Amino acid sequence: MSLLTMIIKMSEGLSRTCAIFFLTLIFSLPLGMVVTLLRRSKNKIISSITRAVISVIRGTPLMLQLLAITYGPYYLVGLTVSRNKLVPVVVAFSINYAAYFAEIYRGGIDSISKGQYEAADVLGYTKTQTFLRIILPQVIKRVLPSITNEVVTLVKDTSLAFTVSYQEMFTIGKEIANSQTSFTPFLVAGVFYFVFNALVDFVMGKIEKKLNYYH
Amino acid sequence: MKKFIAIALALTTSLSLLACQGNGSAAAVNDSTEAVETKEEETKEASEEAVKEESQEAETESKEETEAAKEEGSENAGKFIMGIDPEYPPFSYIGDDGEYTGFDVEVCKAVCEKLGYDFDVFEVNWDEKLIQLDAGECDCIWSGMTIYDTMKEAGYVISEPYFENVQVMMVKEDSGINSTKDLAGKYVAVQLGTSGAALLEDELKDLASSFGDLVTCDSFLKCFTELGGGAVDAVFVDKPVAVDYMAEHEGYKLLEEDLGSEQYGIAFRSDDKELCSSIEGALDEMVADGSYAAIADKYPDLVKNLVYLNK
Repeated sequence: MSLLTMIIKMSEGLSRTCAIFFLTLIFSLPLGMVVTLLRRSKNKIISSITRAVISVIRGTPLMLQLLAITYGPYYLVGLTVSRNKLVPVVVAFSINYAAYFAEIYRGGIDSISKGQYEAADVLGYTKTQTFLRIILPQVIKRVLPSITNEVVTLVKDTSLAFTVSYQEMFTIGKEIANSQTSFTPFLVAGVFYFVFNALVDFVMGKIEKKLNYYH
Repeated sequence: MKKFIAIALALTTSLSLLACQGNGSAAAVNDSTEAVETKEEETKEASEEAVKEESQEAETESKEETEAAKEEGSENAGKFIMGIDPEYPPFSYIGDDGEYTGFDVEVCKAVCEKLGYDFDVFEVNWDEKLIQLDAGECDCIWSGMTIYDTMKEAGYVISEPYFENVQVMMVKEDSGINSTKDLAGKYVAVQLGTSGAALLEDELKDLASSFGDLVTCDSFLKCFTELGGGAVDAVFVDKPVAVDYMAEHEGYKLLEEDLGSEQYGIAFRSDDKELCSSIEGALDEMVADGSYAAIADKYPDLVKNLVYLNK
């Protein structure tokens, strides 16, 4: 197999890798915010349950969560395993990444000084208005570098989808490596991931620059 | 300016510490006593307790490594690391007691006893098994491994075949699938890196293109889970593995079609010709004294296809 055919075959899998990547971001970024708000809830029960859930999700491997969400319902209650593996894969990835994003957002929100809330109160802002118009824009600016970190990790984590037989780019690379007894597909995969992440870096850099309007 | 100097100082100190640690790991890898000695001198200068501890560790590690190397060098008493796929019953799997067992594992254990090797097991990643063999992580691949011409062409030493294997399609009993023709448009699972996967890519290409989708799993147990859970309609698998699974799980059947036969053998690195022939010799002896048959009796489904017992 020539290098070109190898690259073409693996590019076909790249669309599936991108599907995991973008769908996970679309679901986990807002979900993370919801989790943060629950975690910061004044209600002790809600906040401690959320806290426990986050610690379970952050404390167990994503690979295990993938297996649990894909095959768990079948083993526990005999439900059928999904034919389209993208569904369980995106669910598992979104839940996992939402937990990390939630903690990043929490750090961002906590970093805003109390004085700003007091000032907003004096100026007659409601709590919702204070959060949406004053706190959130600052939080987004502050957490962006940490978010970029997670997004870069997500690109590489997509290869874990192999454990539930989802044919993304790395799986196809493995198949080729295997049938050709060659190491080249792994190098190709490495280049693909690196270029993907270089793009992520570039885009996130642009966004950061755009939001950096006070400097 | 003062701040700048302070930062610069902090940076240089941390960098030089890092360099020391780098040397430490290099010493462990190089496994040369000289490197360890130089390392010790350096740590004295650094007078950092944590780093010192590390150097001691590196020293013991390198000692262990030299001993291991010595053992490997001698033919009679040494370690023999068997490379297996731990999810491949009945040939190699984790038994009820948590130890590795299976037909191949038991035979290999007996061979090691005969030849005076210390038996050890290494779990290979099946689709990278030959790379791991080359890297010296194990001394052979012996786990229901199908012999391919490409392996011999690539220089690996392959033993005489010991098992005749047949590939079968396993489906659910109530699926209404009775021949491979019924598989058109259906989902079929296969384990990556197995002979089944290779067959579907090559000789059975036409059959494979009639499938709705070919799903690649990283273990047979996952293939069976997909089948049980309804995500696929059939699993293309080695017959003994399927028979073993069906003995414990009801509701499955095999399609009675011969989709290709093959032979199992043991793979060694290209420079291990002697090792290979000594193991083949031990197997012949075991067949002669009946101990081979004794192990085989525990796996009645395999006996019919064992080359050594049907010569």
